Amino acid sequence: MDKRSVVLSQVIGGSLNTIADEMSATVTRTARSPVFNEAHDFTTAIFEMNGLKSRLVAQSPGCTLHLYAVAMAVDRAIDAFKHDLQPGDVLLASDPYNGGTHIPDLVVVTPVFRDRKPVLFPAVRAHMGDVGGPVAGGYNPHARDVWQDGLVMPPVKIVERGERRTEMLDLLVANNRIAHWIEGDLASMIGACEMAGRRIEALLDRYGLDTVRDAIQANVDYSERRVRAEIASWPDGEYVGETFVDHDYQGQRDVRVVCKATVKGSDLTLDFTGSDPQTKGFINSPIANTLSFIFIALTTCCDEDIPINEGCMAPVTCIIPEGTVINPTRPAPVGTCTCSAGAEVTEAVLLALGRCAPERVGVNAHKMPLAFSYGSYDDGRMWVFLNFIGFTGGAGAAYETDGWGLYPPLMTGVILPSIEMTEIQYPSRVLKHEYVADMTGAGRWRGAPGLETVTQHLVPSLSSVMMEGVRHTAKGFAGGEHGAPNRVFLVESAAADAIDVPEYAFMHALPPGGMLRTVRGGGGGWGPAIERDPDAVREDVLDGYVTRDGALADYGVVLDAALELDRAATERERARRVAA
Amino acid sequence: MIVRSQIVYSRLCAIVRELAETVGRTARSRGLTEGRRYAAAVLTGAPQLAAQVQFGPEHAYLVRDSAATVLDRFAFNLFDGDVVIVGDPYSGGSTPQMLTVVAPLFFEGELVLFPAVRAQMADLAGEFPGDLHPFAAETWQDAVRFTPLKIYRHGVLQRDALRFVLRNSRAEKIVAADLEAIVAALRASCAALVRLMTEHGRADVETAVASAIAHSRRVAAADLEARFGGRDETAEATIPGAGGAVPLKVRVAVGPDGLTLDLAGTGSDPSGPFNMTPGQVKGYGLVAALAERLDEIAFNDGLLQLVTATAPKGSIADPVLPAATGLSDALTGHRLAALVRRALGLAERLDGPAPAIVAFRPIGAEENPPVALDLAFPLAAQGWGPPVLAGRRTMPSAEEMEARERLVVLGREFDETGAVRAAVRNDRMPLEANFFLPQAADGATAGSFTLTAEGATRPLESATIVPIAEGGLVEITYPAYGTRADG
Repeated sequence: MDKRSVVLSQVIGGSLNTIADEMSATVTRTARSPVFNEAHDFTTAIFEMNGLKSRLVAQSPGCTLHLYAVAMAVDRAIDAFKHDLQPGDVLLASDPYNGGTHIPDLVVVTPVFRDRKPVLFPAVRAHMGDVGGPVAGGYNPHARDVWQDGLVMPPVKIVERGERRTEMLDLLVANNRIAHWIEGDLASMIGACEMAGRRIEALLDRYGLDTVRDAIQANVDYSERRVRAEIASWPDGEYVGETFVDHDYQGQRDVRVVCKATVKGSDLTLDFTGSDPQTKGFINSPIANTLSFIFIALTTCCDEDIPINEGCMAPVTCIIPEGTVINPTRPAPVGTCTCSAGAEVTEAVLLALGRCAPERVGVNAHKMPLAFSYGSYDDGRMWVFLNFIGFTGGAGAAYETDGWGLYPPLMTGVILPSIEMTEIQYPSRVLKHEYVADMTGAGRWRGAPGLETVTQHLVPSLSSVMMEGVRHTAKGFAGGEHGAPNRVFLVESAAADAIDVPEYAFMHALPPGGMLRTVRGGGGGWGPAIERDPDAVREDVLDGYVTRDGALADYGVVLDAALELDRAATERERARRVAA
Repeated sequence: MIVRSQIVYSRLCAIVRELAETVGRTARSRGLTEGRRYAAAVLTGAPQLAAQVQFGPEHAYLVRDSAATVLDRFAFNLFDGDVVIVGDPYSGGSTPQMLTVVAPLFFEGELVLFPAVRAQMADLAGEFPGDLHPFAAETWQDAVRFTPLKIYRHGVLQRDALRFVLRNSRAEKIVAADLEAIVAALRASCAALVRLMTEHGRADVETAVASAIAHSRRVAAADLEARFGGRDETAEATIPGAGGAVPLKVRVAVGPDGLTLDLAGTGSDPSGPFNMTPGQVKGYGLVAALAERLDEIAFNDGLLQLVTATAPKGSIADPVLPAATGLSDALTGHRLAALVRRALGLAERLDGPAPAIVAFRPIGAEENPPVALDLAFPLAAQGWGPPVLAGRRTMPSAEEMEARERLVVLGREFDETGAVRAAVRNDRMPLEANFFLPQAADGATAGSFTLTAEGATRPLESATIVPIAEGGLVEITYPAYGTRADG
């Protein structure tokens, strides 16, 4: 490829990424629910049709766990209409057993035609506040089949040749408790796809289809080369990582997810044989979800300047046995798969790769408890509070990097909602949102600190809590310590005893003034804690992430009463520990 | 002219009967083939009910009301060859899992007459397989709401729409087969209606329908006037709502124009499953008042025009979304019918609520068609056959149940009090079941259940997901609402 072609490829690749970014901005600025416009629980992307298989060619940074999941959803949606796709069509899907993940994540995709054939597909994947079914919000820990999770949405046309298919939209709205959200949110997703369609048309007009395709191929090839180069830098061999989901919320504990990574030259095979069978409870991760979490693990082990596209996965072969908790068969419930067992898929891959590329792993392991509430506004409309504020924290450390940020890395595109907007949009108050000392995995680089959040609902509400990361906390890497266990409390009033939720609570009625208190354990550490720079430990003490006692217990760092570092005592203590 | 109209109308009624018969004989689910939980009708473009065959009184207004929702929804967007489904308590329907399938028929470019079938589907998602959720607090726990949706457009199958229906069913194959049977039967009816109108002319057919409707109204109004003219009484009972007893109060007045039901004073129960829709209220009122005459009068819009009903918005007689309605036919309808009859001074009750069980494979099975263990009907005062409020449904064949489901009916007998005692043994596989044990008007339970498994026998009340082990024995007592003819 000559220099001009390289530059042109980057220009076109950049254009496609910009279109994806503009889609993201469109969704953020036009959607109605705080899940979209505050928390940004969505992602936007562009796919190319390659035969009957679509491939990811551009993506805007969004909720990371949607990243690759959207690919299979687009594939299945296109497949469902492969003989009946017209310009102006918009497809919608959310079927865990048809390319989906959990039901609240809807995908909207539209074809862009050139020479009478669909060539590119802008798509939005986003989390809806509700999806009908037995339980508001779509998280039903009692679910034993997918219909107890919510409304299954196989691929349908919601816009046909440019005309909204209102009967289908009405059906969706009728099966949603938050009609005032979903109408606006779907319109924003459709609008973003239609806008992207116009931009792509302009791109194709300017450069021509062949040039655009060549550029896409060049960018995909480039990403593949870069990922292959990364894999090739790891020693050949077989490496095994194993982790566990705490429970399936229906009595089964310690659900195993295991990954054997085989590195051979620039090829990587990830074999999940040996993972536990699918569970009765709703932690099962459908294949698209599992692939997405594998994609997250892999791409965060590579340089961050590698363009995110199909080329990233080209060197990877995945073996994911059917009937397991990470590739269940219909109709196993899957409601919480984007929290667990998805997180465990990433963790197992990172633990495996940590044995051959320790300096590449760590930050993306986390464990997330879910706690959400719902109730009604004065006018009877329902609200569902997904508690994004309470989910914050928990990132692991990585080589040369302390765990940081207010969102677990698996959800990096999701942002901490504004507390003020939260208090405006919900009948709720955020009373506390603070780091907690000594609740992180110690290490040469420590995990993100633990975090305590207290949210109060001013009206009667029902709250459900699904604990995770208690029996099996966020993993440390390369000798780093594991993170602390998560805890969630239901507090009925200031005078009442807090209810420490053991495994889960289901639709617990909270009176006005009732509170959810979430204590999120910090991330895992990287490297032995006694190798941490004592000055960094002192900084952590001054910042309130570590106590003076914790500095001594976890890091062997001795601080005097004025919190000045006693270097000699520290050296003695660390030497004593090494000797022991 | 009158004779000609009668001939034409009789042919129309024959088309409706054939429609009903075709559905019953070609559908696949037990609910339709044995339980006959459906109704078939032909409607006018207004829409008015031209003729209806119903196997249960709950359908009385609901085929028409559901069709009206469809016509309203697709006001300027209906075409020959379209087939539309609707199944939503808040779109002219009543209980969950019930779909009305409408096939608009255009003759000379206009919607003159068209057939419709209202039928219970084996499963349309919701929290549990089947239609029995004794504790549903929202309609979405009962089932998916199907607002009007075209499954055929211009005669072309809308694959995505059908896929949507089927993917939201635990009994995908059975629902697909039932829908196919219904659509085929509707198409045959359309062809028959075209032949009728071609042969006799559209004007004559319209005249015949209008005459029949006027006649039914005249005859029924006269009957009401003769028996209850000037009557204006109020009756009251309670419904066991989720938040406690809910008053159900109805003032019944009979005048020259028919029956007026005023349910002012009826309470609300937004978190319980006993809410009934306005169409159901009128239907149970109509059947309660005209039960003794219904078989003698053509069932068409003339009858439906006789009843007007008002109820406080948000009450159990006119609920607002998302209140659940799943057990409205099972309890509230019976209670309302009894009140209407009491207010009209009719001593003989029609029927009463009965225990109900829906069994299924343990939740989590992919194809999991539920089985209604409706082994018998309560004894009613009317003598042979099912009581009026069970319509013309049939009892399931013990042999069929044994052959198809491996559920062995060990007994089904009257006892000395008139109660029916039935017993069924599960020879199939471990099952789960939902049980509904209704309260009678006096607050006592209406009937009883016991479950014997692994050597222990225990009584059951309303419950969900009760395991029935292989070999488990369920005994059901259906209460008597009449006395045995033999004393």
